[in-house]
Amino acid sequence: MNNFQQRGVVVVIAFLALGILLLLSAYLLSFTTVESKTASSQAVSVKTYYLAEAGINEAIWRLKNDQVWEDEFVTEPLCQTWQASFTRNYLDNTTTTVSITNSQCARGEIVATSTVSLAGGKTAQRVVKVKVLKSLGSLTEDSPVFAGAPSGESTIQASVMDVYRGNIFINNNFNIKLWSEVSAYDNPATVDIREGRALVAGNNTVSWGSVLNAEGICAKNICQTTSTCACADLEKFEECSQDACPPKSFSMPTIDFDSEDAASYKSRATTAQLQGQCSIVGKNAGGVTVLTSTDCIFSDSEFEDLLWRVGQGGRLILEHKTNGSTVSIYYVEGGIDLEGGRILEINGVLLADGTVNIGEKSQWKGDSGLNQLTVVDPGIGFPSGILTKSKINFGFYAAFQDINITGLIYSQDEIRIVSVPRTFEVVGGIIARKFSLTSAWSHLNIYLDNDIIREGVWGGPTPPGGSRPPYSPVVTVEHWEESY
Amino acid sequence: MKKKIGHLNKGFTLIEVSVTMAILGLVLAAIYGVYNLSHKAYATEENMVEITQNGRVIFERLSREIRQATELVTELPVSEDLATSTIMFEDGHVADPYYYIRYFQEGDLVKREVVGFYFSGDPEETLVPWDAVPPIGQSLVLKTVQVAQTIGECVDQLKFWGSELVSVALNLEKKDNNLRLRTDISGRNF
Repeated sequence: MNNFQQRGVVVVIAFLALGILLLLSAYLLSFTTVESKTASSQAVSVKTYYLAEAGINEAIWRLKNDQVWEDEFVTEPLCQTWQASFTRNYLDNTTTTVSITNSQCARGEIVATSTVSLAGGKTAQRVVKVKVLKSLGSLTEDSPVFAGAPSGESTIQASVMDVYRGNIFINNNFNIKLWSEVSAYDNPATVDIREGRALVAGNNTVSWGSVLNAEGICAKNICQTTSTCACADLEKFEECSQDACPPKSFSMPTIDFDSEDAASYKSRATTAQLQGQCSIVGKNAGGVTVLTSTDCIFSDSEFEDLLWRVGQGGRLILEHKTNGSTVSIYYVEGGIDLEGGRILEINGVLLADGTVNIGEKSQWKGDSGLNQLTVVDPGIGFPSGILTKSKINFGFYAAFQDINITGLIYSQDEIRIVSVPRTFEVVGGIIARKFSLTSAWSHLNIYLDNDIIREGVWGGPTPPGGSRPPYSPVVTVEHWEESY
Repeated sequence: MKKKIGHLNKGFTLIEVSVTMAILGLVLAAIYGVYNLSHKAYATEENMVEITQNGRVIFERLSREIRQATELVTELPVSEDLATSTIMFEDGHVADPYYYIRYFQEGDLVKREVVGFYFSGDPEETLVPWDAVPPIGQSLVLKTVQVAQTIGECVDQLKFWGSELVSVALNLEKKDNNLRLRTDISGRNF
């Protein structure tokens, strides 16, 4: 009996120990289960996200490389409402459905939905929506500085010029001298295209302590490319091959100034004048309105008269007007001289047959002072800039102030900019047969905007009668969003 | 029978009881030791699970919202040494523009609020961009669209920095248990 009682102690202890172990294992089991459920839910969530992203990327890949998708995305008229979809089934009951719906040609929304079926009839899902577009190809090979003359040299001296988001294209020799600094920068938004290159059909000469900083230099005498040279446009420039420099010659885009065609700038200015779509306001130095005009087309003396009447320090404002079908276009059948301390503000586009001089002279019949030109872009689809059949000169008396031009500066001859002691900023592009700059080491900043260049050259969002350039091979992701 | 009863009443000797008690004590102490160790491990594990889960939730929500943000408002420092503990960006998910989401640390909490801006002279309080220039005589007023809500707790430090990628570092802490998480997020819309 005594022995029996002593054995009982062992049983009690064993039960106690087992009980505690049971308790501990229950603890362990409980938090292992919870953690395991959380972790697998997390894993499934990550999986669905990446599958949806993969679906988006496959759709973008198809838009670039699948011939059927590539064509149908941009081919009119069906591209305006084009739809397509595909489904990918993976192991483990996992599916990704991708669909694309165009809102207009070359612009659509891709929706990728990935689902994973889980135990107990549950599913995990993730949706990624992306808006994509292909923009139209560039008219100037993505160059906001485009000097298209096969003869005549372009020169930059004693200047600082920064070109952003685009290339510098010179169709002949390009000289940089007198401690100048010229830089061209890539556009980080277009991953597939490497801008920021100096493309020179002739010789590129950098002398007298000057520097040319570019992502790549491609000239008759120099062929420098960076190791990361992206050859998306290899067919055009073949710049990655040493033998392929210099770049092919490109003629400058032509503008229909005054043909009989109803789409020429002058015909449209005539229509705008008939429909009362032009409005000019002149204010004197005190801000008082001294003149108004509804004309669109002027002789050089008529336009000179407007500038004279605003007086020294006055501002002549060419306003933007549109009735939906016709837009204000101002056309001078001759040259323009901005002198004697005047400010010219162009909201939209001003064209001239003759030479445009901005601040070449200080004195004008007793008036004197600095002259300023401002160009404002009225919005998408409308042309903006200053365009001439002859030369454009920015002289010494246009200096000492900020000049902002959001538009195209176009000359069928030469553009000459002398002395820029304050910042000179151009958003759009400068197109001329020849380009020369002497800025006294002030900054001329030029930002590429292909839309502004196209609208300026075409006079609107589409070319007059002609065919539009092909769409760019780049698919731009405009907006990305996720949901469950 | 008497002898038997006598034998039964005899009881244990002091030595027997002492030895039994000592052995029992040792066994119980050992069991307690194991129990205590397991309990501590359990508590640590529970804390880790909690801070991990907080980290996951914060990162999941933050990453998704930064990925689809349309504009980054906070100017982030390039290096981690100068990192900020708050970030504000424009919400890319809602159809209406100019809703700005702000994540910030408050004590050991990470909070998220939605704010907007309007011109002081506008009685309708129409939302405008954060960098809009108000008309002369007016100012840009900040209003809370959605009050700050807690997204995660147990946060020791939250840091944002980066240039093209937004880098985020999150240190979580609960009762001497630490978890350091970091990620780089690529904003798809800016």
